[in-house]
Amino acid sequence: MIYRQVFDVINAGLVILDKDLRVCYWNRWMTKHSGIDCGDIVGSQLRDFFPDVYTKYFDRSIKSVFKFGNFVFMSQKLHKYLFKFPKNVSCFQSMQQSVTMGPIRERDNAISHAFIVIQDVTEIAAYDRKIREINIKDGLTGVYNRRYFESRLKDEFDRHKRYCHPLSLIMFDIDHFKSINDTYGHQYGDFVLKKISSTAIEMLRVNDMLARYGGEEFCCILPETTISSAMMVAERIRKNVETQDNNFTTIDASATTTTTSAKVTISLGVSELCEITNTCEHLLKKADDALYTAKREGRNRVVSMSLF
Amino acid sequence: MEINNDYTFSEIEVDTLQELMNIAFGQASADLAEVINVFIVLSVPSIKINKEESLTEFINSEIGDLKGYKIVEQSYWGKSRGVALLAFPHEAELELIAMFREDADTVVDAEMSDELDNEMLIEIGNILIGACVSKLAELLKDLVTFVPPRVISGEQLVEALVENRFESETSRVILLKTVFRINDRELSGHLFLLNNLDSIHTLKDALRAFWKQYE
Repeated sequence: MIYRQVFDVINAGLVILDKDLRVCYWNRWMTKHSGIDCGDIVGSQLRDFFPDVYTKYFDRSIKSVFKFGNFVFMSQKLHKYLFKFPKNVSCFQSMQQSVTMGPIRERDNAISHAFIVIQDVTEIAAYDRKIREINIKDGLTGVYNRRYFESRLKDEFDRHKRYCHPLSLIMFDIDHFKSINDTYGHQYGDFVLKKISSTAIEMLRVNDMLARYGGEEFCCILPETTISSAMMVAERIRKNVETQDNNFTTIDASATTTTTSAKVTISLGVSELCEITNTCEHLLKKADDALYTAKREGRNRVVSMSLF
Repeated sequence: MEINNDYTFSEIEVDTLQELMNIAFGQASADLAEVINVFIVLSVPSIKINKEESLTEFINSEIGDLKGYKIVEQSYWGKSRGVALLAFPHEAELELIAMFREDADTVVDAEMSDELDNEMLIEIGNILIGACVSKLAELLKDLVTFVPPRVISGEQLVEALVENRFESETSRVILLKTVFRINDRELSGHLFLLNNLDSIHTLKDALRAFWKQYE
């Protein structure tokens, strides 16, 4: 096959299968990444070498190639990869792949074979993830940023309203943060922000979402949560921050022997989706008002939204 | 040489095309049932010749209101050039995704869910469009190839159609429309196939060849 001269040097995997899904061709790129020689795999069922490839999706795709002559574009975002090849790039342990499948026809147009082209997109996927992260996360604390919070709140709000499911919001703020900064310096202030974020994260479920809303202000979205449960979560966060005073100890960077330790507390306001909070802004405002009440009543406490 | 300016279909041509689409979509839905395990009912298709600039309005009026719709758009090439548009209302889209996701192997990440929903729609659209278009092409003794589909919102349709201009001399397109329903679920959407009218002569020839079989 004279085309082999091209197929064996292209920077992509190329596999050709017959109707029984036996391998008819396996290019050098595939050999390089799988460690399997063309001569060893040709004539065998692909399944014998790669049982993991046979997902329902693959089955559906290859059938639609043979049945309709479809071209199938398998995205990395949805499927990560088709063939599991080791590759370590930042957060990925396997090569991320973008895959195209399509029919090969005989002279009479009948489909006799299918081709699979595999492209390595690991680097692009890693950049993509990095950019996404920069875009939605707060650089200092690693929790979500305000912009992403607002778009998620809108989605959750719409979803919960549509299905009449409960949805709660906790807004909290570090007490006397300005004086912490003034007394111990901004680096220590940053340390406190990070510490508070990680403490709060530990108290939340996977589906909850924590974001840095402003300078020292944070917001949590609690899907499928009534206000009474949200109050309990808020109280747990408050208590954990309060009793953690030793954890707010940091080793001073300039003189490794001295430490800085401050008593840090937070105030929290909680709101829930209901008739009086029928817009996102209102839900936020109610939590913010409750937070303000907590501050006014002496800080280091949780206050539930007023029903008026 | 006399230039054929006949850009209309005769009654018999429309009937034949309709018949062809019926057969094609019937076969497509039978094959789809086998491939994706979902039974899709495709309604009796309709055929129209439309001015290119009024396409959006027409589609808008056909499906009610384009707002809130997601559309899978895929171009194809055969003897003629065409664009397939598969439009679902938001609720149908969510249900469709849920149906296919049941057997997807991916865990859904909330921060990417929108994007993944789109990817899922692209895959579903690719199969549905591929099945319908290639069956129709097969009957017309044509062979089509596809470019990867993409998802656009109803609001973006105008832009997409401008981008995809057929640059046909007649600035008219042949528009084939069908409504599909899935299984016993209350789930339906529209499939539009827009074809360059410059291909009308090829199409007419193919239609003639088709009904000759029955003469």
